[in-house]
Parts: sequence; C-alpha cells; structure tokens
Amino acid sequence: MRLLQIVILSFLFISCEQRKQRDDIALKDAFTSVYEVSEINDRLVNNPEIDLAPGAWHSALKLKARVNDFSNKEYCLLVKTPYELEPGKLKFVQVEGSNNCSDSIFNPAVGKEYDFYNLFIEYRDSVLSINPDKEKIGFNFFNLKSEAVEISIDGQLNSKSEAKLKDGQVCRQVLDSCEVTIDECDRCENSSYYVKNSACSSAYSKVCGIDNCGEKNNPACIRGEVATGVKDYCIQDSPVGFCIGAARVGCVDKMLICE
Amino acid sequence: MFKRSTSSITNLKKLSVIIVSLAILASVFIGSFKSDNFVKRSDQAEGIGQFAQEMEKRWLEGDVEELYEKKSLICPEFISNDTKVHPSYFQCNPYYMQCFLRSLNKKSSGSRFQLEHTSFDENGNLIASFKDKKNKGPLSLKFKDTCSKIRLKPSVYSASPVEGEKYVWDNIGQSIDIDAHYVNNGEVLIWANKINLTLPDSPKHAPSTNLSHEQKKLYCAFKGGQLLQSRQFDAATFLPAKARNNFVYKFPYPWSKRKDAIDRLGKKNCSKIFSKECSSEEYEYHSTYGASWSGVYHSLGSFIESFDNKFLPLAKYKMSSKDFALDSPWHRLGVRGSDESDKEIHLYNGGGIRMPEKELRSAFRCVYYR
Repeated sequence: MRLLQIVILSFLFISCEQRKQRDDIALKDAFTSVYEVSEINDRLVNNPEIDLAPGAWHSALKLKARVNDFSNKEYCLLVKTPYELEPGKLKFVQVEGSNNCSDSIFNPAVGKEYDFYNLFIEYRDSVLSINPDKEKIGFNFFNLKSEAVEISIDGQLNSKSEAKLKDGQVCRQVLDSCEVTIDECDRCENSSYYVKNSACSSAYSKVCGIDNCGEKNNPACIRGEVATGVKDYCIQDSPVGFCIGAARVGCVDKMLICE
Repeated sequence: MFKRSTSSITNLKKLSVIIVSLAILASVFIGSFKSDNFVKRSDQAEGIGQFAQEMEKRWLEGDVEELYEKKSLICPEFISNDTKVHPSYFQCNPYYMQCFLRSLNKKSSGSRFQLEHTSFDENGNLIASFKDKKNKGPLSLKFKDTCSKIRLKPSVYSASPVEGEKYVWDNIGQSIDIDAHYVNNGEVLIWANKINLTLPDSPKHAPSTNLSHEQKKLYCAFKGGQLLQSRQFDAATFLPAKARNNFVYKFPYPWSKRKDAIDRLGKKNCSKIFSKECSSEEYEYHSTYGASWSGVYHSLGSFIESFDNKFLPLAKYKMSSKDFALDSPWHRLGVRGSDESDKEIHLYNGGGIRMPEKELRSAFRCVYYR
C-alpha cells in the first residue's frame, strides 16, 4: 500500500512539473515578439531588495508585443509582495484597451502564476530574467535588438492597431528642460519633421506631415541656435528659424512659424 | 479455507499494485514523450529568434554567394540578370529577399519555416509570412530598409557654392539620415502599386527619374522620410571645414581641397565623377561613383538629381551629371539649376550658368528624421 502511495505521489509531482514547463513555454512563445518594455518599476526591477508595501500588488513593467500582422498586444508583469507567512505572487496579465498596469491587477494570469518568498527581476540588454525563489525564467526580446527585422507572432486573439496621427499633430514633444514627453512619430500617417517649439537647444520636437517648413502658415525651417548664436529664440523675426520668400518668422505658442 | 482466502487477497493486492504501477509507468512514458514534444516546443521561441536572426543577416548582407555575378541567381520576375549592378544593390533589397525566401521552400533547404506569402506594409517594408512546419504556428517577419543610409554629423554647415553667412545652418539636436544612393524604380514601384499609380516600365535597378517633384515628396513620405533638402546634400558633400564667425570655407570638389582638382583628373575619372567622358563605359547601377566624405554617393556626375531647397525653392537641381563633360561649370558642389530663369538663381550660384533646353528628368533620394 505504501508503495502505491509513493507511486501516486511521484506521478502527481511529474504532472505538476510538466504543467509548469508548458506554462513557461506558452509565455516564452507569447513574448518572442516584444518590441517595447516600458513603465519599469525601479523598486522591483534590477533591485535585489524589494522595499514595497507587503501583501499588495505592484506593477513591475509593461511589455508591448507584435501579433497578428504587426498589431499590438500589451502585457504587464505584476508582483504581489509576500506578507508574513503568505508567499508573494507573480503573474503576467494582458492589458485591455488603453488601461494601465495598475488597472489590470485583477486580470487573469497569462500562463502560470508563481508563488515566491524571494524574488529578483533583472532587465538588461533586451533580456528579462525572473527568479522567483530557485526558479529561473528568461525572455530574450529579438525585436528590441534588431533594427532591420521585426517578428510578429500571428494567430493570436485580442490584438489592437494603433490609430494614425494626422498631419500637423505634434508627434514628439521636447520641453524647455529637454525632457521628451511624447515620442510617437512612427504613428504619423505621412512622415514627420523637426520644428522649434521649446528652449531646449540639444533636441527638437517633431510634427507629422510632409515637410512644408518655411511656407506661409507653416512651421519655420530651423537654422539652429549654434549657427546663429541666439539663445532667446521666441521673438519676432527670430534668426533661429527661416522662411521662404516674403514670409516672416514669428513665434506663436512657443513655436517658430512663418506668417 | 481461511488461509487460502487470505493468500488470494494478498495476490489481489499485489495484482492491483502491479496494474497501478504499470499504468503509472505508461503515463510517465507518455509524459516523457509529451515532454519531448515540449522540448521541441520550448525550442520554438529560440527557434523563431534564431531564424529571424539568420534572415536579418541575409537581408543586411545580400547576395554573399555572388550568385548574381556568377549568373546563377534565377528569379527573372524579381531581378534581371543582364546589367552591371554593384553588390550593395542586393542589401536590404525586397526583390532579392523574395527570391531568397522562395528558395527556403525547396526540400533541400531543410528549413523549418516555409514561406507562405509576401506583401508590403504601409511604409513599403517587405512582410514575409511563414508557416512553422513543426508547430504549424504562423509567423511574420518585417524587413526594414536600414542599409545605405548615412547620418549627418552634427555640425555647422553652409549651403550653396557661395561663401558667406547667408545660408549657414546647423543640425545640432537633429538626427538626419540620408539615402547614400538614389531611389530606384523597384522601390518606387512598391509605392506606385499601393496607390494604383501606373508608371512606365523601367528596370528596377535604375534610378527613378519618372516622378514629378510632388510625387517624389509623396514617395519619401510613404517611406517615413522627406525629399532630401539641397542644404543637407551640400552638408553631406562639401568637405568639412571649420566654421569661423559663421564663415564656412568651401571646396568645390568632394575628393580634394584643391580648387583645380577637376583639371588634374586627366581625361576622365569615372569613379570620382561619372561624366560625359565615361559614356563609353557601362554604367554600374547602385555604384559608389562620386563618393563624398560622409558616405553619400554621386556628389557630382551620374544623374541629374532634384532636391527640396528651403533657402531658394527654384534652385532644386544638381545638374552635374553624365550629360555634361568635365569642363562644364555644372560640375561644382553646391551649384543648382532651375526650371525658371530668375536672377536669384545667379546670385545663389555666384554666377549665371545656362540651363539646357531639353526636358529635365531627375533622380532623387530621401532623408529621414529619427
């Protein structure tokens, strides 16, 4: 009878191992085509000591993957920190619509949900390594490494296409402090070009559309601050910009335009 | 009787243990078989990555076996076999890549991924869809043209052949990537097919010279760029010189700082400038003629080229081309031609140069702001 118990227990152990392996593989498959890693929580990622509120869910990072003919699918890596004797939990969830990771805490796990007491998440050089206790889960994001070729895993559900940006919309916004707050010019319907709309002299904002700079009622072409030696750019007839023909450089809402 | 029944119960127990053990062994065996499948499946992520890496190498390196040179690249619908083209033509070339990908479907290739179909996305990038023969899962690869572009070094530059500060500008804080070669007919055909534009039948490898100025702008926007500006071409071709008090010294030829460099070429030098004197030689398409310091080709000579000139829009043609002999005044960097006769163009060029009376057909290239 004892022998029977041992055999049954061994069987259960083997099945569990196989299930775990299968879940890991499903995740690896799903994440082969990740092209963007964002919203990285420094307190969880590349941080050997987790100093977050215990027993609560936290977002570690967000992944964007290419699926179904280069549409998008977004995932979040969520971590519930251990609390006293209760182990922590770790899961990937799919993000619906334009939700944030923090709105997706109660979404069902994609693949396996892991329990842990110790956790280290490392993200370096386009490789994500997750070590819950003694386990090791690794993801290599090809799309982040390659500039020339991009992978899309097709035949997946719930993908979404990004809406295109119209001509004239600012697709890259650089603040006076040189901080870039928007950077999505690959969503422009018709390319993009540089404009001068901030005091930052080491980077420029961009607007969607065919480059009509210099023409009347369009952004001024950029001559540059180094070439002109002018720092206070936002003035009438600013030499930092130039226009074609009789149009004159003006400054409206911090943007150099031709009027 | 009692003794016998006890022994039969023991036997029954033994039998049941054996049956259960066998069942478990069978399940373990099946499990291990499945597990083997998993090993294959676990290879999938690695396998896709490895395959994509191999395809990327091929896309970037092109015809490394020199099959075209040996006349054994047989894809007549994609590549004609009878012209002189530089090996760099096959790098990031969607026609060559389609020819190569098709060869993966031959049994002898041993490839795990079978090409199902190809298409082009909204920016003209090649998309190849594959079936994984092992796992039946569909997979697509998008090939982006990252070859043959040069990044303009951040600096202070000056446009036009005239020295002075009128056309001084800088690109500090801007990432400007310029096509090293002309846009060719094959590339334009992908765009024309997308917008149902019918173009005259022209060889795919030859520079596109059939588009209007507006169509050139639309094509470059389709590719995610803009029509190259005249000042950017000047910046990429004039030998660099330090700007002092906004004065940039200019050298008229891309291969030397001597003002008489063209007179010292001899009868012809087709690699430095493919001029009229080179007409007896076969023109090599996608060639490295007229290389500049920045890596942009055809600085002078080869084809007439048109630009977007923001300083003076009518000054849009680089006239220096294989249509003119070496002694022509057009063969100087920064000099521009115009469709309209206007005194401003003379001021721009620092002197009047007579335009040819024939209709101009010009090549072009794009610039990309990253």
